[in-house]
Amino acid sequence: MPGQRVLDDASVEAVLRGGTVAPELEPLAGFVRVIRTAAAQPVRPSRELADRMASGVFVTDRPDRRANAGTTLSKLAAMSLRAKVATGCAAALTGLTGVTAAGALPEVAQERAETIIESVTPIDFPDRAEFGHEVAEDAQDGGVDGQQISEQAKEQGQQSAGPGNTGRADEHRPAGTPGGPPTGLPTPDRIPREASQERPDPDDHPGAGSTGRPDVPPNDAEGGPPDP
Amino acid sequence: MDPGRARLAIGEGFTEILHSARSGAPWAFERLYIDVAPVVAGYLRLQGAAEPDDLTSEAFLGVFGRLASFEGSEQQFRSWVFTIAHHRLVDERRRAARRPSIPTADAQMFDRPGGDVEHDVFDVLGTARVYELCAGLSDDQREVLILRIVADLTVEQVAAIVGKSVGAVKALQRRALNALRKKLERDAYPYEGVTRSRR
Repeated sequence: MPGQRVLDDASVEAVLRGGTVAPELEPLAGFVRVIRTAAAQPVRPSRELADRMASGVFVTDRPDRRANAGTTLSKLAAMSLRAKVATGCAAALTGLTGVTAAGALPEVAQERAETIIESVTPIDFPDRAEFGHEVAEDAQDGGVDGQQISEQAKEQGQQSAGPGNTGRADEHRPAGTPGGPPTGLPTPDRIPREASQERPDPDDHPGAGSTGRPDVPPNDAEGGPPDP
Repeated sequence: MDPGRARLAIGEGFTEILHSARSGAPWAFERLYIDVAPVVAGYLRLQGAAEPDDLTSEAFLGVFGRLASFEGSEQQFRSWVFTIAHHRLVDERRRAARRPSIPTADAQMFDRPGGDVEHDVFDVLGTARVYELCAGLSDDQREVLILRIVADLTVEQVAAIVGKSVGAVKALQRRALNALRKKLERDAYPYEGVTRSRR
């Protein structure tokens, strides 16, 4: 534009910082003032920001991960070689133990890992080959030892029929003997005919022939009306 | 001092407020927010942010979350806040991949308590024109100019934020002012009369 003076640095600074300007720059200085005023409107914080400002949770909720990582690395660097090896072995063994305990390894690797862990730690993994063996034998020789339990319960009930003794059969159940069904699972109302023929007599083994719930008498389970 | 001039509002008490905010004092967060958030929102609004208020809150979540790592004066704090706000804006632009819009009918402008209706209407029209003229600048020119005017930052601070040299920032602000000057003379819009009568 003809006649328009070129802005030098001093004029630019005067306009931008609200200083005294030449008359021909006054419209520009006025516009800068409007920009500044237009930009200075109050703004409401978001709900998250307002909540955090009110509670002051900024201080602890976001730890500096890079700083933590740096601290860990510097600590590791400061260790001796022996300590580094020991730390590495401990970390590897911890990870291996976790994976092995979860049974996530292939079968061969799982067995080897269990052997190693059992030899260097007090952890004892159950033998997979023997798992369920005891129960299977009980089932083959006429069910769980319900008869024995029942007799023991009778004897103890006669001996100590005092207060506080509930007489519940499950209080005397040997460890490892299967009990009633898990809570919440449906219990069959009727036992299939074929299955009942193969099962031992409920009168001889009340624990095996009932619904599995020790607090339900066998007669109720067997003699109740079938569901329509 | 010019009433429209954005000056440091806290002053000598800034160190104590900063220390209290680091300790989690709500009043300190509030004070820092009240002091800086309006100009941050204004900067984002003039830059054409889609949701300037939300972006301001997002920026302050970042600011307060990293307050423990900040050391410096109030002026440096202001510069640091605008650095974070600038990064948030760049992120938003990358997400949206669009040019800044011209918000001519911002409901918030009309939501202020009234008094002198003629002045309020004139103010709104003036603000709309400000957005329009700023949107007519190049992205770099607008960025530099708004950081200089709204954030009240020095050339060096602006250069650090936008990642350019001091010389480049000076050239950009000069070109921006020249462009605005031409438009204002062409439009013959009486900014001087409006602003002076309002002060």
